[in-house]
Parts: sequence; structure tokens; C-alpha cells
Amino acid sequence: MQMNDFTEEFVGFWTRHQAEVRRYVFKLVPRSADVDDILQLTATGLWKKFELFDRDRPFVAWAIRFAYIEVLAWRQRQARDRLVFSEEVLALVDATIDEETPLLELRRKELDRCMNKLSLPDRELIQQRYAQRGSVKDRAEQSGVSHHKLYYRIEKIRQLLMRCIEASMAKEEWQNG
Amino acid sequence: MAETQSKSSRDLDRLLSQLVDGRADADDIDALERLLRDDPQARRHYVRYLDLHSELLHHAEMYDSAVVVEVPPAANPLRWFHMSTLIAIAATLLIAVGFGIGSRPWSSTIPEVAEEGSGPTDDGVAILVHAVDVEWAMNGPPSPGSILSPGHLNMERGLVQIEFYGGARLVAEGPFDLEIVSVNQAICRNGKLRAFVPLHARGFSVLAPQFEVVDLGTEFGMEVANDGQSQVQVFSGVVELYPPDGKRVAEHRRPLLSGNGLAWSSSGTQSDIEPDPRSFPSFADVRARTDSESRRRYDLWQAYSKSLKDDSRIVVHYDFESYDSSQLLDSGKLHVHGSIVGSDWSTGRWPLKHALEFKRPGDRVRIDVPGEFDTMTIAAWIRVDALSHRRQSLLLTDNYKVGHLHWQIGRSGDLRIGTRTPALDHTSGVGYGSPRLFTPKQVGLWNHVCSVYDRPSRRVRHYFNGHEVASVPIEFDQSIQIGAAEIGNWGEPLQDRDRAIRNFIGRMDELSIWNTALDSTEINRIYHETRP
Repeated sequence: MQMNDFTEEFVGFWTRHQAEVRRYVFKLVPRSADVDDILQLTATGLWKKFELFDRDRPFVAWAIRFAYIEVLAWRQRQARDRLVFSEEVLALVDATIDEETPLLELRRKELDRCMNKLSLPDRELIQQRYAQRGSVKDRAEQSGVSHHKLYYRIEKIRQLLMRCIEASMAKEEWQNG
Repeated sequence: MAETQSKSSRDLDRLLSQLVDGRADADDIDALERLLRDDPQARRHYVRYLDLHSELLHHAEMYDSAVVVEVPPAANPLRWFHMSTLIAIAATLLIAVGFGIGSRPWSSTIPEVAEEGSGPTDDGVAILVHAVDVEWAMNGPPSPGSILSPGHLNMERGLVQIEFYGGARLVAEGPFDLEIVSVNQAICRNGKLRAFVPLHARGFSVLAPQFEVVDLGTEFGMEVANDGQSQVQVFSGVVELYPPDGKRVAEHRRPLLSGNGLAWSSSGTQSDIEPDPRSFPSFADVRARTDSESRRRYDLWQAYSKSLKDDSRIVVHYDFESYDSSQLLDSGKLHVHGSIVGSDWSTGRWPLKHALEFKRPGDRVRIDVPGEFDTMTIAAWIRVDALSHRRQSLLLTDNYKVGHLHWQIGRSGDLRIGTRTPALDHTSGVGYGSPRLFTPKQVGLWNHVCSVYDRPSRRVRHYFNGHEVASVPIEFDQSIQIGAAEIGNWGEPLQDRDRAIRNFIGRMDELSIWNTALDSTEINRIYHETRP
């Protein structure tokens, strides 16, 4: 009654790292539905080639190379009218992600603290925006505020969060720019 | 490199916001394409911005998975993908393993893991982040924000969120009997909880009478009833179940994948169950209830604060609500407004409350309080953000002459009142201190400090969070005065000495002085009406 170790190992790797791979793909193709397609293909590809995976190397790095190839292939399949970046920009963004990755991890740790610095109404608005429970339009209807105004406020809140994180990073002397 | 809000960075932020909100059109994408191609700074900003967006989504999912799971697959592709891939693989695993349900009832003894270190210890392993509507069933219950050492937590009712130093987060709903064992382990003898275990905390485990759950990352719920009936439900990721002996023998290991649940009857018979995330308390519940509780508390405080306007015993009352960059307004009748030097405004006991933050050695508020007092009560809400091995000023008169009041935190973390007296020589004063109140565990927590100078009964009494912690006889029969003074610092020390550093490191969001000696009952009431 032996567990299929090979499968278990893959599930373990993928469970632990798929969020990271998703973050990566999203930066190249910032549309959730497309990201899902690409991730699905990436996972299938990784699963098929898992026997070739070198256990001495990080899984994420391996998975991300696969994902990049899937992004390029996906781009090729898209009709001209889709909203996609050029291959040149995809390559530049890919390189930037590579440089930024160590910092991004540190930045994420600041988010909780920065969320708590928001005013209560702002925090509620941004949570509602991301919770998918009520759409921004519903909220606009309830509160009688135009949804343009709410989107504008959400834009401001994200700016506040970005600045708060930048400030923390500068304080921590992690800033390298 | 400081980022100025130039037109181009405003344009970029606008484009990014439209992009992540799904409102970007072809022209926007073209504009973004050009910016990303030509400007490395814009590329970095883009990557950071999208990462923030992903993290916000991730947070919402974590706080809200109960809601997300019930969304039909097509409407929520992210969750659908995650589940479908795992379920496909899980199906393969189940066929491969084929373990028999209920074939081996596990023993029902719980090892006394924490028995050895049951004495008081300073070793924190977790933080009680939130506690709402709680009724504890234990002595000396922890307050929200406190550091938890290994030990028992017993609650009749309410909701708590605990974050383990190892990274795991727990939401538990009362009644429960929970024992915190280490940075990565807890024992649940009774109660209902939801655990979220990020990658860094992999291996977090909870022991129950009939099993041990070891989390391999992500999220599960568990419930242990009084009669021993229990269940585990995995909402995402994978957990491993072991017998409750703490040995984790590999051949007794049983993986439980996302979308699966297992129940034990009180006799130990196992059966499969459908997970229902909605039946477990969620992080969103805690946040929502914390927010509404905080509003309620803030309203209660506002009513209290307003009532002081009619209190003829008030000398000064700084409510720290004016939010003026240069002045600290006194809402008492004397209007002894203070001048803010250096300190910045920040958040107080509640998200809606303002506070002043004292950080740099220069930060201070200058005041000038007239009068001479035989009796005085001075109280403040403070959050000490660092313990130094020197004194920290709460309120010190500029000089230190006969009768001058010095109210501060002492070197050993005590609360003390000091003054000069004519009976002493000119280089020393007399101090009335409390036992040690501020320990590393108090750092970052809001505390109510209050001291009473009572000349007629020749006593100085100190109160900490509404409780009397010291009552010291006054040695020299004299009145006290404040005059020109500073909150959070020391203005003009004695001429013949170097300027000693006395600045307060932390926040203050209320300070009141009464011209009378308030009694214990009233101080306790004030604490309860104004606590966070």
C-alpha cells in the first residue's frame, strides 16, 4: 500500500509554488482568464516533464521558464486585435521580474501593515474591490456615488499602499534603485 | 531615489489602475507598451504594482475562501483552476493509495507536550492579533496584540485570531480549549478553528484527541466536540493526518487533499465528509467584527471625552483629535493648547483615532499649565514602542525645582512621579515609583497609565489599565505644580548638567489632568470606558 511518491512529490511542489508561478504569468499577461489558461498548460507541461526536473535546482525557476514559453506560445495564437504586449516588451518585463523578485517578497510582507494604515472606509472599499463579493458597480449603486469616483478612489488607495510600501522599504534600506 | 509625482508617473499609475481593473482599451495598452519599452523605472514600477495587485487578490482569497468556493467555476477561474488540477491529481492518488476508511481507530490519548515548561516564561511563540466579543474562562486573559507564551487558552465565547511566529494563522471560535505549544504547534482539546498556513509555515500541526493534522501549506478547518467527535476539512492544499501520539510514523500517515474531509465518531470510527468552509469562522469574520467593535469602542470613548467638558475638576484634557500640525488642543476650560515640535500625527487606539508619535530625540509638545496642587490625577493612553535603559518622559516640567512634577517611565519599566523638595539638597529629588510595568511584551500595546498625587492622605498611587499597582507614602508634605513643561520630552534640564536624553519613544493619544485625587472605582471605570 505504497503512496505514489512521484505524484505526491509533484503535487507538493505545485501546491507550494503555483501562486508564485501565477504571479509571474500575471505580470506578463495581466488578465485573469488568460492567466488561468496559461497556468493550466504550464502545469500539464511540467507534469509531463517532471522526470527531467533536476531536484538540486529550485522548482520555481524551472516552472517559470516553462511558463514563459507558454506565454510566448499563447501570444502567437492570439489574433491581432487582442490586447497583448509585444515580444520585445515581454522579454524586458521578464528580465525586470527576475531582478525585482527578491525585493517583491519583502514588499509583500509590508502589505498587512500598510493596509492597517488606511482609513477604515478606504480599507473597506479596497477589500470589497478584491473580495469579489460585491462588484464596484453594486457598491456605487448602494452608496449613490458614481462608479467612476469609486474607481478613482481605488486607484488612489493603491497609490497610497505603493507609497507606504516604498517608504517602509526605504527605511529598511532595501531600496536599491 | 525619491519618487516625485510627475505627470508621467501619474499617467503610468492611471494606466496601471485601468489595466488591473480591466478597463484598459487598445490605446491604453499601446501607451503602456511604449512606456515599458523605453523606461526601466516604469518597468520596475509596473512589476511592483502588478505584484501588489496579485497580493491583494491573494489576501482577499485567503480572507474569503468561504465565499469564493461557492462561486460557480466559470465565474471564478482562479479557484477553478486550482481545484480542478488538484482534484485530477488527487483522483490519481486516491486510486494509487486505496486506504481503508475506519480500519484502524487511533488511540485517544494526547501527549502532555507542554507539561514541562508550565512555569511562567518570557518565551513568546505567537501573537493574539484580534479578540472580539470574548468571554474568557481563565485567569489573566491576554489582551489583543499580546504575545502568547506556551500555555492554555480557554474561552467561553468570542472569536480570536492567533498568528504563530512560525507563520501559521488561526481563527478560533469559542467555546474552546486550546493549548499553544510552540511556534509551530497547538493542541485543540475542544473547539472549532480554521488554520491558514503559508509556505513559510509548512509543517504547522494541531494535535487533537483522535489525530494530529500536519499542514503542508494552505488552509484547513477542524472541530473537536466535547464528546470526542471531531473532523478535519481541507479547503485548499494538502494536510497529513497522523495518530495523536506525536510520533508521525510514516506508515500511519494519511494525506488529505483539498476538497476532502474526514470525521471521527466518539468511538473513533472514521467517515468521509464533504467540506463546508462556511461552517468555520473566517478571517473576514474576524476583521469585520474587529472593525465594528472598534467603531463601537471609539464611539464610547467619544461620549466619555465629551462628558469631561462638564467636569469642573478637569485642569487640562488633550483628546488628540484636532489633527492640527502645530497645535495640540486642550478641550478643557483653560484652553492650555500645546505646541507640537517634531512629532507626527499617527493612528491611535482605534483606526479612527488620532495620536501623536514620539520618535526622535527632539520630538515634544510644549505646554504651560498654571496652578499649584495639593491633589492631582494625571492619566494618559500610551503605546510604548521601545524600551530604553533610561527614563522616558511622559510629562516633565522644564526645570526640576521645588514642587515641580516629573511623570515618567523609569529605567526598569516602572511608572514614577518625581519632584524636588526643599528638605533635600540641591542635586537630588524624591521619586515615587511602581513595580515594573513595561516589559518587552508590552511594546506596541496601548496601555492606560494613571498616577494620583494625594497630599492630604500623603499617598502617591499608580494605576495600570485601571488597576492599582502601587501606593507609596509621600515623604515630604508639599504641593506640586507644572507650569512650563513638555509632553514626551524634557525641555530645560538643570543648568549645571548635560542635557540628558529623556524622550518618549511611542505614541500618546489622550492625556488628562484633574485637580483632585480620583478614587480607584472611578479610575477603573475610566479605563473600561476608554480601552481599545
